[in-house]
Order: sequence, then C-alpha cells, then structure tokens
Amino acid sequence: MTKEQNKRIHLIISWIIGVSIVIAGICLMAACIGIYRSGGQPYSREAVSAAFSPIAIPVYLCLVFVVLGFALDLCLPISKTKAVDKQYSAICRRLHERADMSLCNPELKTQIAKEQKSRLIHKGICAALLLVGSVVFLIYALDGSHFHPSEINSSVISAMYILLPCMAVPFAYGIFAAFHARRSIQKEIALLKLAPVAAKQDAPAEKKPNLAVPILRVALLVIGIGVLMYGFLSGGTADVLTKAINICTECVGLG
Amino acid sequence: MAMTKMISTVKRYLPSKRKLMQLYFGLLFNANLKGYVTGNIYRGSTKSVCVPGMNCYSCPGAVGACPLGSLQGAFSADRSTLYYVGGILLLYSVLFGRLICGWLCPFGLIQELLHKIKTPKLKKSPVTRLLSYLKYVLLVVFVLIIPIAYAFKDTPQPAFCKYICPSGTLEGGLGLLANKVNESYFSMLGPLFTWKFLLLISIMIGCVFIFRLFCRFICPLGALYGLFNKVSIFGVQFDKATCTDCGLCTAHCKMDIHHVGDQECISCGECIDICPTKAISWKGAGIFLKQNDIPHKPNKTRKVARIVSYVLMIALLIGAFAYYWNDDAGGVNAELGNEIGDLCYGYDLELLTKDGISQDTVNPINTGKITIINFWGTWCTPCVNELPYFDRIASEYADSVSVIAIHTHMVVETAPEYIGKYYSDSSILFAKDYPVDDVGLNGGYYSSLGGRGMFPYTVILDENGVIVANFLSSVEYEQLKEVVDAQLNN
Repeated sequence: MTKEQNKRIHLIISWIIGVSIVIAGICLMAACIGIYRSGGQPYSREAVSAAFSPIAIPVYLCLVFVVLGFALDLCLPISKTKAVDKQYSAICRRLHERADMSLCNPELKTQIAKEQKSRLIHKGICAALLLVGSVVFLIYALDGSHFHPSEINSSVISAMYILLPCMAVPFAYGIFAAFHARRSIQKEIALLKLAPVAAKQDAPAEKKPNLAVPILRVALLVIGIGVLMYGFLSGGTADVLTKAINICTECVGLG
Repeated sequence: MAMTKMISTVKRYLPSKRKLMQLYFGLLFNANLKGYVTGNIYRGSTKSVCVPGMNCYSCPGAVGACPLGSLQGAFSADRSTLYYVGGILLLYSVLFGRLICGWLCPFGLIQELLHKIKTPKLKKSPVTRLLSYLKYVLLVVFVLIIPIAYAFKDTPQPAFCKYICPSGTLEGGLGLLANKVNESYFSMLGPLFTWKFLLLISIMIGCVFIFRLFCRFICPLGALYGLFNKVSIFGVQFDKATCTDCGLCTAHCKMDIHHVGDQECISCGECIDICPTKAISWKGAGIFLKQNDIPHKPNKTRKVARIVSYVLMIALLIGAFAYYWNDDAGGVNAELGNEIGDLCYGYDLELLTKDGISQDTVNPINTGKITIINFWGTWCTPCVNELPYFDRIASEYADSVSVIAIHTHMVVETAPEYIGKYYSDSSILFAKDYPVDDVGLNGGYYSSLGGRGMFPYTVILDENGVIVANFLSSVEYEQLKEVVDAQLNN
C-alpha cells in the first residue's frame, strides 16, 4: 500500500468516527429531551432504559469505530508530520528587528505605519465595545433588585439576556479584527521584506535581573499563607466541610 | 520492519509521564472506592481541604472539596470561610498556576483522553483565541457576580456549579445515579438535569474535536490560576535572551498561547523538547536541579531517588484506598423507620430560636398532629428557597399540622441569625439535629430517617408518627398541601 493510500484510509476512517460520534451524541441528547418532554415526573430508571435502548445500536457502533480507529493506527501506522502553522506575529517581530527603518524609504515607512495603525484602531474599537458591554452589564448586576431569591432561574436567564449581547458584539467585532490583523500582518511582512537590513549590532549589555516578579511572588505567597491560616484558625473549614459532605441537589444538576 | 513500525506506534500510545501523573492525582482525589460501591459520598474530615483541580465533591469517590464550589459557597458563609478558601486558592495559584490544569486536574485528563480518539481535529485559530477569553466572563459572572449578589440576599447560589459545571454532572450527578442504591434520585430530575446533561454531552463531543475545549473556553478555575501563571513558582518559562522568536513553541502548542508561560499555558512542558535553542525550561527546577542542567542519562543517585519517589507515591495511593475503604465517616447510626408505612424514629431535638439553642425540645413523633419534618441548612439553596412553602403550610394548618425544620449543620451560628431575620414570627418549629460522630457535622436524626447527604429532604408523618410521605429534593407548596389534605380527609 502506498503512503497516499494509507493516508486516505486514515482520513476516511477518522471522518467516519467523527460523524458517528456526532450522531451518537445527538441520539443521546434526543433521548434525554424525549424523556423530559414526556411530562409529569419524567425520569425513572425504567424511563431512561426505555428511551436509551433504541439508541444502543448507534452508540455501540460509534464505540466500535473508535476502537477500530486505534486498531488502524496500530496495524497501519502513519507517520505523523505535524504541519506547523506560520507564526506571522513572530516573523513580523523578527523582521522589525532585522530592518533598519532609518534607511527605509518614506513611502514604505508610511505604509508600514498605516498597517500598524489600522490594527491598533480595530483593537481599540474592540476594547471600547468590551468596556461598554461590561459597564452595561455591571450596572445591571449592581442593582440587587434584579436578583430575586424566589425566582433564581428566571433572574439568571434575564441576566443572560443582558450579558449575551454585551459580550457577543465585542466578540463578533473581535473575530473581524483578528482576521483583519492577520491580513494586515501578512501585508506588513511583505513590506518589511523590502526594507533595508540593518548592520549587525553588538550584543546588548546584560540587563539587570528583574526583581519585581520574585518580590511579588514572595508577597503573594506570604499573603496566601497568612489568609489561609487566619481562615483556618477562625473556623473557616467548617462551612467548606458542611458543603462538601452534603449534596446540594441543585448544585450537581439533579434538580 | 513492519514489526519495528508497530512497536514504535505502540510506544506512541503508551501514556506519557504527565498522563500518568494526571491519572495518579485523579485516583488520589477520588480514593473513596467504597463510595462507588455504596453509592454514598465520603463524609469525613478530609473534605474540608480543597483539592487543586476541578473535582466535584459530590462524586462518590471524592475525598476533598472542589475549590470552585467552595469559593462560590464561601460568599454566603461567614468571613472566615472566604479567608480559608481564598487563601487556599491563592496558595495553589502562586505555587503552581495553571500547572495544575496540565498535571493535576482529573477533568483535564478526561478531556485529553477524549481528544485521543481518531477524528479530524479543529486547530487553534484567531476565533479560538478569542473564545479563550470566555472563561474570564464566566468567572466574573457565574463565580463572582451571581453568587455575591445572592449572598447579599442570604441565598447561597453556586451559579457555575448549578448551571454549567460538566464535572459536577459527570462525577456528581451521573456518578450517583449510576448506582442502583440511588434509584430514588431519579424522581428529582427535571429541567435542570436535562440542561446540564445536554451541556455535558455537547462539551464531551466538543472535546473529541477540540483539544481541552472546557479548559480553554469555559473553566473559571483555569482562568483564575492563569492570572498567576507569570508569578507562579512552578511551571515553564522562557529565557528572552536565548529565544530567537522562531515561534515553534507557539505553533506546536495546542492551547491558545501567545507565548510560553502566559495565562493560557498549562505548563505541560511539551515545548521544552521542541525549542531549538533550549530557551524553555522548568520554573522552580532550581530547587531540585541546576537550571537547564537536566542530564540525559541520570546518574545512580538520581535513579535511586526516582525509584524511591515512585514507590512512595504508590504506597500513598494504596494507603489512601485502604484508609477510605475502612473509614466509616458519616455512617448511619440507626436504620429504623425510614420507609413509608414505618413508625418514625423519635428523638427529643433541641429547638433553635433567633437567640440560639433553646432549652426546649420537640419530638417529631409526639406532636399529636400531622408532622412535616424538613431537613435544611442555610448553605443549601433549594432548602432556603422552599422554606416559605413550609411557613405557609404551618400558618394555614396551624391546628392540625406541625412543621419542624431541622437544621442539619451542626455548627449552627448562621441559623439563629437567619431565623431571626426571616422567620421570627413563623409557626415553623426550628430544631437542631444531634451529631453522630467526632467531626460533629453529620446529623443523627437525619441519618436515622435514611438521609444520605442529599438536601433538601422532607418526611411527613401522620398523627401517630407513621411515615406517610418523603421527598428527596425540593418540594412545592401544592405537593405538601396535597399530602396534608389527604391525611386530614382520612
């Protein structure tokens, strides 16, 4: 068998397994929804067995495919050469270090600056949208009257109706900005390749070690131990233990 | 030739050291094997310690508390609990950062095993990078804002556990339901379980196609630990001076990192071998070894030290299995009268008032009325939510029904305050359960009525003290009224 044929078999099997897993998952979800929609007190061991037995075939078939996939890897091994994605940001950084911008022609310089500026603007808009969304949600959340103790589920759902658009808008813009940034970096790389190369500089003088991180680390460690000991000595373990040795039925999703 | 190829493929499937560590800690955090057999959760004192990874404390095998669940619960408990849980989380974060996600989290292992299934995989992209910020939103909204907002209203609300946590559904929910002993738990399943089951299946399917989907996009605990990744003592780091910015490490990594050791890095250490200039190393390795001086061929002393540490680790695990197997923490002290039709167990329970524990007592079987016994706790959301129904029944049927709400938390400081604030004029008789063990946190009366750590729990007795109904999980006013009316009409 040629390498190409081997690769094709692996690809086909992996797609079959993937599709079978999705089908099995959908079957499981449909069975669960089916039980729930039957009304009354829907769940019982019998109801679950009755609803899940018709989907046993696709689920078992999926498991067989999964095992087959592993067996195929053992019997017909395929050399895994991992395709490495181009790290455009890293390439761009390296090219910037290499280029001598003082010798660069002004037009090229302007174009590079334009690309950088456009990325910055999109990032700024995205951050502004996120800030606005966060402020809107925080204003909503800080008003305690929105969280009713007697109607927790509906209060949380209402909060989600506010939260979702607040986060979805910056997220959608973020996707646009990310793809734009990728295109823009690619353009900048092309421009940077045209820039003259700087003469090799001497190795920079050794920097003094940054002590901020070790100091912060020790400070946080001391605070952590202090707070933990204070909590422990003033009886903080009792509530953790109570919560852990008893089952709050809602918390584990039982109802 | 083919044989050699096959051997190399088998070798590829052998678990790495990291996987073995994940498995080890997964077993250690869930060492209560007896729980899987009996269908009960462990109720001993080790549960007051939070384990570092995501591990539901309602799992029958769990021997420690979940840090995220404890944090959400701590907001509505007294301040010392918040200090205790906050201190533990800060300590874990500063010591390990997200190394915990890569090496110690049992749910991380489950996700990685699912990703091993041979299917087409979705690579990381700008979209997945953006999605990685979702976990911070979930941390702020579901772990901080909602629990704190409800803590101000004296209603504990672990929103992440309740609405999202797939670990809770898998280990706690399904773990308990899988045991035939817990057949009665099926009766309490409803819309919440349906939602969480669908979410669990979606996440698990997602994990097959996307590497560590839950860790990357959803896990608030990972988000929290990630904030401390740069200052953590253990983890991976890169040397800026040696780094040539080739981007190989970022390209090889399956997480959404911008550079090694940032908030998304789970310190799996796979990039250490990839780096062509050896700029990546273990942080904190200097405590045990000279940095970047890890010899390829360990010398004899190091070999012996490694073997000794493996033996100690295995001994610890076996010891934990044996200890928890023989530990009867929370054992039921009496098995009489917990089925419908049985005569209920009687006991003089001390009454609780807004001023604390009273000298008066009440015996549920000697009230001479229909008696509703409700086991509750200020820490339990559904318990607190259903108390108004009991209050309504107690006032509407004052002549014929006696409602006794038994607080099951033996450290009852919060209960009198709560009673004084909301039920000072109520007809409900608040009582305190008695301890059955040294820890003093397991309610004896609750255990006698068949309680096995599940709350809320309600038992209804007729005038003669015979059990006529019991409800595991929340009850509605209509359900209580129906039982009471049926008894009054008999």
